Amino acid sequence: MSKKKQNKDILKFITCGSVDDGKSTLVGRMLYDADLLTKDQLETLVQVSKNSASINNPEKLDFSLLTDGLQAEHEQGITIDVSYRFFETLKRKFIIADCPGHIQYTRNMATAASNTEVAIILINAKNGLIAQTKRHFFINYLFGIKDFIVVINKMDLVDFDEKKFIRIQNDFLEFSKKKIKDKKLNFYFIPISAIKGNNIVNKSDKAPYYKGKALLNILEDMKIKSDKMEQSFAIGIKYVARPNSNFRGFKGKISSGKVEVNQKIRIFGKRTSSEIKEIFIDDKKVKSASSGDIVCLTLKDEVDISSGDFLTSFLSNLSNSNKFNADLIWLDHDELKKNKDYLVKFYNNEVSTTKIDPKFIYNINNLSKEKFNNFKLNTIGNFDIEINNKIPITNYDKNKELGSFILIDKISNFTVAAGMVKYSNLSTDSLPVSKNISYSNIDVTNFDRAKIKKQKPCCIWLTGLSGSGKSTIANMLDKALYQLGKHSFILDGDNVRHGINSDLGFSREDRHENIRRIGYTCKLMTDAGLIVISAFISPDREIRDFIKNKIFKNKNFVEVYLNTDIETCKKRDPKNLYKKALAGKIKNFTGIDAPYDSPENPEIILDTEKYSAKECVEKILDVVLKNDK
Amino acid sequence: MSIRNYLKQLETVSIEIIWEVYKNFKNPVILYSIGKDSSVMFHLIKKAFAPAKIPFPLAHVDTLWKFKEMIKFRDNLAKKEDLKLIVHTNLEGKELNINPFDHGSEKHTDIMKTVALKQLLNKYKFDAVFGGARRDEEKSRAKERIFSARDENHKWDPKNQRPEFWNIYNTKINDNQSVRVFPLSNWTEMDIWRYIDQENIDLVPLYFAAKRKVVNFNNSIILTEDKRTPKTLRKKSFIEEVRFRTLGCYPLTGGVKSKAKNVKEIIAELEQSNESERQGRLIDLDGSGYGMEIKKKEGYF
Repeated sequence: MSKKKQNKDILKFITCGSVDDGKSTLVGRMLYDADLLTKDQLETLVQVSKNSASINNPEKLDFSLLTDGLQAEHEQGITIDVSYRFFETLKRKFIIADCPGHIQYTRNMATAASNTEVAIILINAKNGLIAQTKRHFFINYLFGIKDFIVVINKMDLVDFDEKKFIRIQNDFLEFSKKKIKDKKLNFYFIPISAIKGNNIVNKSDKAPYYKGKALLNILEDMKIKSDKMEQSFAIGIKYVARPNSNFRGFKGKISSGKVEVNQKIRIFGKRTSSEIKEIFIDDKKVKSASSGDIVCLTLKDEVDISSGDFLTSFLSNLSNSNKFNADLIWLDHDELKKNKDYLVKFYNNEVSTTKIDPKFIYNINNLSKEKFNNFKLNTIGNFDIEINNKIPITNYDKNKELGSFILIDKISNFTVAAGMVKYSNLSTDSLPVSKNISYSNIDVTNFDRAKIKKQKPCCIWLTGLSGSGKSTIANMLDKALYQLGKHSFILDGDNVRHGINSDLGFSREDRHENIRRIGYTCKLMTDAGLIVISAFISPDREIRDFIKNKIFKNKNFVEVYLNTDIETCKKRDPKNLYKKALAGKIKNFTGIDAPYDSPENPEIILDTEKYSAKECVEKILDVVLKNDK
Repeated sequence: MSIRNYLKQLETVSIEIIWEVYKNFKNPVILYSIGKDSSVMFHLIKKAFAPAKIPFPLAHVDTLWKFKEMIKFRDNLAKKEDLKLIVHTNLEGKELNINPFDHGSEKHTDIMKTVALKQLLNKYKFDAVFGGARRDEEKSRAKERIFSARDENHKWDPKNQRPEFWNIYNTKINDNQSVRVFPLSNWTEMDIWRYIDQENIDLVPLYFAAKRKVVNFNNSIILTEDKRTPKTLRKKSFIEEVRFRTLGCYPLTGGVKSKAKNVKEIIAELEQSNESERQGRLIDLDGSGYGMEIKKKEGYF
């Protein structure tokens, strides 16, 4: 058999079921039917299986011997730990985390779930949905699994009864949808007889009502979504390579987004930034790299960076946080002690707890929230956690790698809990207020105001056609600035037209007046120390130049021209305004029956067809924060 | 998950594990067995720190019964990479002339390998020991952790392992403890060979088929490597084209008949073949069916 397809990926899945659901038989039979067992494995199976077992009679083979390894487990006859199995087909490689169905081993299932992407949940067709099935589903869901294959096994014992199959399927969907509203959840249901090999590798004619694929085909073909690529660039530095005094390379794995040579980056949580000089993958220089790549980066400036630091793009999804909310599963025999400090280990940071504040406990049978009393082995609960240092974190559902952590007992060194961040930043930072300031005799200058904000105030004036991306970019820019600790504010149609300019209409004169007032408002806000973002079409060059030259006197004013072709804007038409204008329902619409004067000397021109909104924002930040390190 | 080459996915996880050791331990060591898995592990460690030099020493437990070609390969590598090489032999065992022919595989492996390894670790007080073991090799290995804490006697307690979540590893131990670290945990034999092919990794030539002087011993074909092979056996030797799927002590390592002379041919052969790799190793059959699990509890890798 050739297994040569070179760009195969790895799919990791967990199998869950209770003791007699036939888990081991399912996996064993899948390997047997797909012809993936080796000769000596088969011979051993025949030897240890009882009765009339033979290589050609799989129904008599005791497949549990393939997956149950440890001596003690053999004596107990159950799997008590997670064990990993590997196999490979033409399309994919697979890693199976086999985990127990026994009630007190929630811990092992959670471990396995944390390391997998798909869960196979076994249901015994004779028993239907039982409490354990729900428990298994909830644990996997809490650990971020979105794709579930529900195997309704032992269908041979109920004569492949369609009604039974449909009923179990409906029961499952009903309870899961009642408890969890998550559009990303994805379910497959398959009627199977593991022992007879129906619908495992080969589709069976016993269940003609089942139109889906056999189990192995589903596993081979399913796509696992990852949104890491769309996120902003972040890399945790793991090692600083200094082979000689001229070279300083920062090594790590990119956790999200992509990075390019010359890109501006910042050292997260510190007030320093630099630009990427070179990117190496292995020993080759490359122009860019993305999520999942192991890279060695060099920077244009000499900046103090050590392992544990994060490099990120200017616009980062990470929070710099010392207080967050998380779900925890407790793994230790000793209960959680609220006044004890535990070590918290994230992917690239190690800190200590200073406060653990329990919110509620999950009832794992129905996912309802219960009052906290104590937190013991195998319980899952929700907590606000304070730590002794600010570190970069994000929510688990955005990025598993940067939103997960373990708690370690400082005395026993045992891993006592595993956690998933739900809300990455709960801190309410306020500016320190000195008690000795007397307010009467101080002349506060604009410079002073800017200084306490630790920012250089300015007005970012976005101009461009309707649909050129002003609102999108303004909002993103506002968020990015906020994350950087900058105080910004957006002026747009919504907050201006309804208030200060509610007396104005849409005649040429009124539109002129509208923009003039906005210009002065921007100036006042800039004087107050803010970074103001104005997002109006502002089609008239004359009035824009007036604001720039007369009101702002060419200082602290950044004109940003969103250069987008009118045809593209018409296609985008986010508010259906072009359609209305073309139909004559709106008069004096810029680009249709009113002119737009493009700026002659804008500080920034952005081609929004070539660059994504995120890239546009980064370009603006580059200019705005240039003197603001 | 992107459609990146799966070897790269495996490589990435391994390199992250290696960084974790560097960051958290004071005195790590690479336990280097000279085999193909060790060679891949070494290659990954090199990649993790490139272009800087590997920051760990190499250690080898020499049972005195390894193939000569292995020893030559080991010394060349340490020289080429400019690394400190620590070779340790159980001298008491040497004095007693413990050997696989007279004392059998179980006793030889225990005294010259397991005991010797403990001596080595006690002597140098290593706190983290890299090993090239893989979970697909054997059933008890399938449950081994990536960072596996050992007590002061280097013993493994399979019932008291730390759970491992995501790619976050608990590296905390007390002063008298150590961890065994297995960066290749999730690799299979086939992955190892494809990676060797992709990365052009050098191997001991014994992995490739050649006409060699061999003899039947304990249901295996072994090399009549030197004069220490009993005369009675040497008399029965014959020439056969064989290669070795694993390398250890030569009297305990069975060769397989093969024509595969390079990595690509080995991969092609493995894709056709239907036998798992430890089949050639005689030590797994020691004791009851649980040979490896008992050995591991005692401190074997």
